[in-house]
Amino acid sequence: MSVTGQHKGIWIASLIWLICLAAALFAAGLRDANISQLMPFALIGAVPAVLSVMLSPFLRREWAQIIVIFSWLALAILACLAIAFMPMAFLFLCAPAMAALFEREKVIEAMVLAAICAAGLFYVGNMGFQLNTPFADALPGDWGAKTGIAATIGLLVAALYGVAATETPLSYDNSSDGIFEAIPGGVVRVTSDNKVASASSAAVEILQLPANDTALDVLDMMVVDQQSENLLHMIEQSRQKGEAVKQKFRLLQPSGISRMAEITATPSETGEVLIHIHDSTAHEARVNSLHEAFASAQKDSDSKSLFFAGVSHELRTPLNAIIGFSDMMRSRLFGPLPNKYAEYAELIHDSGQHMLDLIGDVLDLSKVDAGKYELVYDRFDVADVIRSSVKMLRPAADSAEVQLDVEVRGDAGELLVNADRKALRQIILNLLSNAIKFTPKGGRVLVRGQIEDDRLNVSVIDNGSGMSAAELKTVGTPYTQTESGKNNAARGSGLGLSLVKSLAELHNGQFDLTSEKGIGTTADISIPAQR
Amino acid sequence: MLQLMPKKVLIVEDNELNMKLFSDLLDAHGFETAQTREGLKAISLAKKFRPDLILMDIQLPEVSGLEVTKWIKDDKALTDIPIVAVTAFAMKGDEKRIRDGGCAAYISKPINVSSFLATIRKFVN
Repeated sequence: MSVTGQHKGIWIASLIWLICLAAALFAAGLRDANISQLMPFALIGAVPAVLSVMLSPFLRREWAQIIVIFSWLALAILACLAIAFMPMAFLFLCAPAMAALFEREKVIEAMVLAAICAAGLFYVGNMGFQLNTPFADALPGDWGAKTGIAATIGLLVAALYGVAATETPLSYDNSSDGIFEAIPGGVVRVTSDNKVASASSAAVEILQLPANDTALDVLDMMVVDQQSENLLHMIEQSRQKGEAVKQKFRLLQPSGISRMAEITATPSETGEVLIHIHDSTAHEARVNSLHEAFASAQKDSDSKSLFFAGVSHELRTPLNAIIGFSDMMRSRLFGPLPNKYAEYAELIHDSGQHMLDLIGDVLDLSKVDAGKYELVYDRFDVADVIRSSVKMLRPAADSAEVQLDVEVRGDAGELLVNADRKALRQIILNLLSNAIKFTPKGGRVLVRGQIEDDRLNVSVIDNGSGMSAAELKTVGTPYTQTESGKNNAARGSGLGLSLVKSLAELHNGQFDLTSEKGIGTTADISIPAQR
Repeated sequence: MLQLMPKKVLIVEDNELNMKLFSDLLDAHGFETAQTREGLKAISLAKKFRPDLILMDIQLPEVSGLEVTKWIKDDKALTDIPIVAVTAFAMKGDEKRIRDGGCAAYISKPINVSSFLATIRKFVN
């Protein structure tokens, strides 16, 4: 790469110094001074500057910097010894000035070093040890001092200017192409006139570039011309904006296979643009398949809940006739009914009602599944709900000869909560009817409600048939029923408990079932009393 | 229940069994009924029959019961006749939609015989 700002500063500063020396020689010559006598001093004085000029292409290396700085320091010391001592002490500033053109840390070190040397020489001189040097008499001190001061000031000004003009260095050298190989994906370096300067092997593979063709134009980079134009547009855009530009490409390869790639163009200050190509074929394929899976799951779920809503409506229409006509028969609207038939009418009516409840449960469960069951929060007394549910199921309990008890532990018999009244009523009704169903004649069902630690706990305890641990596991799964449930010949779809569980969970609560075979079952729900 | 003039109910219902259920039930309780399966015929029948109440199924095949209700309420001659909606579409918000549509009451299918009769009696008087 070309010489950057820092190197230029060193180069110019050194040049100023050399010009000053030449000008002093010339001026001295005009004044009839002895040029041949001045020449050795001029040559010694020129050494550090010449070194700087020669080393400036390599000056980012530590050793080159140290050589240049120390050569200036040596010159300063030599000048102080050779030329009238004090005037030339000024020359010590050359070392830090030179260092300033490199890095700040080095300036401080150079200043310290220069100060120590200057101070050392000063005290040695003051103590009377005027050093005798071979050149001391031979030099027209006046000229030497003036030249030194002028050149030093020139160098300082150049150094200040150079440091002020230095911006963040940004340079590539050819060795950085080795770095590109370590980057996942391909990297292409595009010159300011849109030619491919270099490309990593991954880039060559993805883009199918001709190997080592340095004269390749960006417009020939892609197989599809339109894409090459898009790429060129991206490159120009990134230069204009001064920031990275990203775009997705579907790369067509000569083999006919297309690959998805994410291409990023990152500009540099020099007008070069780095192109990064990320092969996202596998990633895109995965994302697409996830999208499809999600969409089809969504569709399935939607059509399922629509289906349930439709089915529910279709089932209710014939149920209206079943329940209505049987209701008319059992109320003997058109005259008396023989005993057996009256009983059958009653059974038809009950079965119809039961079927209606099941349809409601299926619909609710499908709504919960589809995430469409919305709770309507409301502040009410759960004790009321418990009592009305018990009242509603009392006839069923009586006919099953099951004792039904209520136990409410609350302030003044109240259990105030913030919850969905309808859902809570459904939970309690389902648990109660379940318990009555699975408790044999002469058994007992107890419903207990209480608020503890800001949680509403409702328990339904029976001393019915109970369940084994294995049976307990299947509870709450729709359409499964335990063996004992089947043996009991009682009705049950498994829907009731799954719905209870879902509704409790919708309230951020939980549902627990504990049971022991032959001893009974306890169903507990616990939900936050406040929303 | 002895009545000089039996109360008249127009039933608009497309399901044959439900129609039979409603008319048998109402006949047995001393109402005089007229029936139609099509919402479009309800208006002309209502003008001829002059019912004291209209029992309207919401899910009709050609036009929605709510639409028919709107026509009846827009008709000066018929606007005073109370309309009771019957529907199996017991979804959230349906009741409000039906009441907003001009219906006086709402009965959900399947019906309960005693509460069905109670609702009808409440609006014919």
